[in-house]
Amino acid sequence: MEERSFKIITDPNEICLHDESYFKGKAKYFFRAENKKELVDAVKYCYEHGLTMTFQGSRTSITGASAPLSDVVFDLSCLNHILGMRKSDGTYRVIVEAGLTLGDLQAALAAKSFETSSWDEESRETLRRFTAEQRQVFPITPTETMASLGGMFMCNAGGMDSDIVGSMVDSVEAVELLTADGRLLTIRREDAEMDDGDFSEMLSAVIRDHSMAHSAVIGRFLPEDGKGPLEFLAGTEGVYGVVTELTLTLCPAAEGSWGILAFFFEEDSCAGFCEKMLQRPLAGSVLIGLEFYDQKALQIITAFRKETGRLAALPEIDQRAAAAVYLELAERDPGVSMEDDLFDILELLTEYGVEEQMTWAGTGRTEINKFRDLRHVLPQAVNEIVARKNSLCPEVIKLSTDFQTPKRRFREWLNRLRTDARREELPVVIFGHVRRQHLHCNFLCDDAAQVERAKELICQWARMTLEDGGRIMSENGIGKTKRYLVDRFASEEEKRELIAIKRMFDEKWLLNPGNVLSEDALKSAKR
Amino acid sequence: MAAESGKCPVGRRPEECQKMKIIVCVKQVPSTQNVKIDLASGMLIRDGTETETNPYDTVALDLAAAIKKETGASVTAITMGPPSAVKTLREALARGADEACLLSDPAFAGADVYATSYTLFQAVQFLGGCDLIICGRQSTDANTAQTAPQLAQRLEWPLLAWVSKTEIQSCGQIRITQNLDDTESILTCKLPCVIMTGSMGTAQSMPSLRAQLEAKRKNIQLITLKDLCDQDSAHYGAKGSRTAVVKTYASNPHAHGIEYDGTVEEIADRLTEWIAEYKNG
Repeated sequence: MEERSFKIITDPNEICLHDESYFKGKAKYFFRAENKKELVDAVKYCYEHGLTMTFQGSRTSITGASAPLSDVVFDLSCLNHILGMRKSDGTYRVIVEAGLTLGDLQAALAAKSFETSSWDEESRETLRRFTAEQRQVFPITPTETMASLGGMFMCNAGGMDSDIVGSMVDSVEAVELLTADGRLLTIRREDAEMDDGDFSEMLSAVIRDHSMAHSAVIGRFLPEDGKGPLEFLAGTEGVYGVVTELTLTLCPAAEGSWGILAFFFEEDSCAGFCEKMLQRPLAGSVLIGLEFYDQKALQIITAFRKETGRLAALPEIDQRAAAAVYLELAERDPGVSMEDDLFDILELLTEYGVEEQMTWAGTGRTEINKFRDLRHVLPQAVNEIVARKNSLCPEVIKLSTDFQTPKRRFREWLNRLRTDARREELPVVIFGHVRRQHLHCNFLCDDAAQVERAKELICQWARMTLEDGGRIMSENGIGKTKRYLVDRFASEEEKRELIAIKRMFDEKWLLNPGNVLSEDALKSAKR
Repeated sequence: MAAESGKCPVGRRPEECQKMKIIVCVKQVPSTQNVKIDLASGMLIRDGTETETNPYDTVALDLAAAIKKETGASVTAITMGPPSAVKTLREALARGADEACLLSDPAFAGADVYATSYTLFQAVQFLGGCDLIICGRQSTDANTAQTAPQLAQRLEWPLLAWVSKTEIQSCGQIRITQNLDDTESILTCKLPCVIMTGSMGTAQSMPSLRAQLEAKRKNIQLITLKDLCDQDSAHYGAKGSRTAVVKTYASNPHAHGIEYDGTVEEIADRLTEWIAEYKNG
């Protein structure tokens, strides 16, 4: 790559070969794009020379989506600017580069403080109104605030409140897509017309010709009737193109909100409460999130707090707690009292054996952020445990479920996970969303044999989930560490469709190789 | 400015002394992640900014709650601020305070620490005095750490600083643990006194759901200028302040220091030269 003046790093120690999944990849070159022009030039170079490319935002993927199996690694973290602001139909929008992290966006919005030297006059005028009005937020809040917004679109991330506010694609109005051959295309929600006629036609053709009934395994990579181009591209993990810029819609910050963390003496009581809570009608409130933590999760949080000094704003968790649930509520309408609902919840908690001092409650964004921090550090702490285990045994990687089994009961599903893991003598930590039984069962394996048993168990659960009409791929994506589920459960027809579409967008198979389809799957589908 | 006047007695009547009375001074501050300053006036921008209870004051409330649990004392939280500061008083109630008072009057606005301590001093008198005042070490917005010392000075009570633990003794004394950088001192002091908490450390408590809900239903007493013993508005707020913010600007910390190699003597010589050059501009 000496023909151009790119700053290429070839020292293996400087090439980022892993992400939060601890799947360790391979690459020859590392390239940190300082600006979009550099990125486009470098991608064109790779296309001309047939070099495969992996794109990294903040490397927060827990499925290896940003761990390379390619010639070149592109780091987009320098493309982290807020480029402008618009307002139409009463809605504010910000235009951001893909490498900007969610946390940096949130901080800028909260402080109403932006670097505006490169903004156009319309953006500056909009900012003047924005500053004078009620605070606006970006509503998509996955726990990982270090995630890049481009990465969040590429895995269509959502937060604990995704049932209420939707996932990433619901708050994105347009994206700029970088194609394998280095073209930049603008794709808007409202109109499928794009700057590039050929590409627009191809995208329309893909959506028209390849739409199939929703697939529970790799559905997000295939077009569906009624899905627009933006919906189709969200969650495709960069296999068809890479997002470089996004137009995000904002919404007013909710004024009345409550966070309640309740600790239970028995896991079964906690599960019972969760089921009952979901059936409970609420008068003045909306249940934004209902999150479950098992005892191991609470122990990991306690240890992490002690080791790192994080979560100092919260007291120590009572060691007697066997499980916990976090409820987040927002007022249904401004000025409508949430009090009756809160007293009802208090009564229900008491009914399930929760003592008064075993609840922590707070109102307002600052207090809620303390609870969200606690939710956030848990996967981070789990990832660090996996990293430590990985350093002792390289076969150990992050293995977790991301299934949604809406037809099952929460208590039944939790018991199933617990019983099966115990039977296989596999250490697990279970936490996640109570709605749709979207629990993340993380395996804390020590050796390769445990990893294999864990994968086998995940496959058993996946089969059950699919038989129930549930989904086995959700917010975490597939990346590289969950390809075995695609191999095992995606139909040959689905795989062929995916490959056909991939070929249309990326004929040389250069973009993010290894994501979604393993070599075996590719060979099998090509036959 | 006229001399401050109207010093009312702060001693408590014997019949009131059956139960120990604690006053905790709390403050609503901009959320620590979110502090903005108006560069023209040097004042904090509070409008539309997310707020929280000064984190040091939650330590003070925890100490008060511990004494309440130990002795059955009554705890009153007071704050000076705009009506929105009621939110902080509700949190204080949820954290164990029995009563809460909001000191709010246009005359109190723009107070520096000097005027603030005077207003609090007047409020303590209005509330009939107390046995113990607990203040957080400092606020995360102004960071002067002077409110507690000045309040103690005005009351002519002893001040115990950097307090991490307390124990009320039967002879009307308090025994405290004072955490200094690398030492711990145990002190005893006769009540009444003012104590100032130490570092934030980790949170000791979080309000329960029931406490939060009950706090929302409690009354909050409003104290205005006309309630105070000294009603001369010149002693309060911006008028009663002894300091003014002249300029606020982003600090320009040295990106990196100067590194010298050599023997101790050589380095000392070079450093002396550098200081001389620096002084001469």
